Amino acid sequence: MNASPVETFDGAAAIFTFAANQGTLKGIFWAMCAVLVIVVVSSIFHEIRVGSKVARRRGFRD
Amino acid sequence: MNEEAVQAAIDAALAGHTTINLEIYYWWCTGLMIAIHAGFLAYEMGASRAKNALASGTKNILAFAFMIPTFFAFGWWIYMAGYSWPFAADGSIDLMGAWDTTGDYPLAALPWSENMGPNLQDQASGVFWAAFTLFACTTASIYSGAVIERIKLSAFIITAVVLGSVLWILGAAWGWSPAGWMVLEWGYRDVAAAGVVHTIAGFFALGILIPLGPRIGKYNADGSANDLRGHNMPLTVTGLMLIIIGFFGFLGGCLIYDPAGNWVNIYGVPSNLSAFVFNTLMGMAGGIIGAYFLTRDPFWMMSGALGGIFSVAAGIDLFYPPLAFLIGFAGGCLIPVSAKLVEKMGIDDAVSAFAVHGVCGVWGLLAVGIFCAGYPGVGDIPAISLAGQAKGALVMAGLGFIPAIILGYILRIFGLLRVRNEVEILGMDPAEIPSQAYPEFAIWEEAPANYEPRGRGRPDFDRDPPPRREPPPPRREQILDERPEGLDRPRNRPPTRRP
Repeated sequence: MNASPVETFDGAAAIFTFAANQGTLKGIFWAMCAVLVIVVVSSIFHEIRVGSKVARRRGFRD
Repeated sequence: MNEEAVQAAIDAALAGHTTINLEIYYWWCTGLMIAIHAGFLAYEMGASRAKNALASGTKNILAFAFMIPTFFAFGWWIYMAGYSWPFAADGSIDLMGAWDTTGDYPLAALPWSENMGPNLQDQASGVFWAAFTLFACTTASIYSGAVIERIKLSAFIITAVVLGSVLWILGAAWGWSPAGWMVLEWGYRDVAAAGVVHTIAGFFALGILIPLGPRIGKYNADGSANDLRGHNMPLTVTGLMLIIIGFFGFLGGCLIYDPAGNWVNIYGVPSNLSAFVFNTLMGMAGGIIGAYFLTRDPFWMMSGALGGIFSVAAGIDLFYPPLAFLIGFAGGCLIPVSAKLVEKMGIDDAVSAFAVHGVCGVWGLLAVGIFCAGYPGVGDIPAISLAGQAKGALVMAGLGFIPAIILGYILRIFGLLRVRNEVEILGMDPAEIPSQAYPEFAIWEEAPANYEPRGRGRPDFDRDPPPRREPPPPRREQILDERPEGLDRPRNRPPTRRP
């Protein structure tokens, strides 16, 4: 990471070039996607757990 | 008209437009930043209990009002003159001689300078001063929420002025200016003020909270904490969203529209609004999702939105947007964890200002050192380094914390810091505010019989202690719980099946 930062500010893509040097862009992108999936899955499990707890407490189960 | 004259006329017209664009841009950034204060007003009033709602609002409004004239009087000059303070040219410490008192900028920032007022030859000083003044107001509002429901109004005004018109702007002179000694020595980079605004304000709040002490009822005898919830969570959450709107003005004000019509950041490094907006939105989303992941609580989620923005603020024009999301996500996760830690230490931060601003500010500074090390500066500014960012974070935290704890204990020794227990128990609204937030709830009628509004005599609780409150009528749930055996509570009845 940070192996070859931009040496000059000339050029419209200077910042993006630097961002690309922060690591593999695709790796960071897929890490973000993984976080999103983990949060959604944890949300599903959370709702199942809470729903079953409430149903048990209130005697709503058949 | 020859060709040269035409070209000169075109150049003059373009220069005029550039100047007017600059004025218009900062005018609207300043206007948008006022939404931060509308948000803090709603946020803090909602986070207070009903008996303190207006007192919290009054405090917030006064912070805004006091910051403006004091920043005019000395805050702006500190920024222009204190970039190398306390170090003299030879590197020695010189508390008096290290101020730049002869340069053009410090002279122009004196409150009696011709630049500090209507001047047709100067179309920049007013709008830049206004933008910095609103930054100062923001620091005071950040600190304001932490101390609600027990700080004296006068103590709050004094401490807010010290923070907003002295400390943060001194930090800005050191680390948020191309001439600042932290920038020139360490390559310190803090593009959107994660350190100079958020870290300083968060640690200042922590420094005042220690001598101030927790609210009555926050902690039990065994040291366990109670959750003193505010009276209006929807107002609080809406206020937080308003703060985010205002931060678009704040972040826009962190870019410089230079006379050549180019965008540069505060260090003179080329940048642009597109870079800012990519990472602002991605950091905000990451913060919300991080807080949701840990808490599922809308209060923490909206705090996470702010924390996400602050986490990416220091390198807001450098990160790859998904990286900004991940940094914001980490910030959103850090907030509830650090807030719990602070609570366990016996420090009652009513709105978790330290966790949102102090912790995320430090994390944001370190994130730039971790992910952007090596990015060059312009002129004599060294490249970004993790060591420079870490040292910068330490300086910003100390600049907020150390003066605050000293000032807090001085005020406490003289009995100026905290309201009397009787006032706190009764509520600051009935004791101090000649108005009512919720007349239907009759908080007003519980005020002492000898009460007169502020300015025409204060209640004398030694002579006439506040009346003892009658126990409230039983709540509906209690009535239902006390129903005779055999009678099911309606809410436990199984749902009727439809055919």
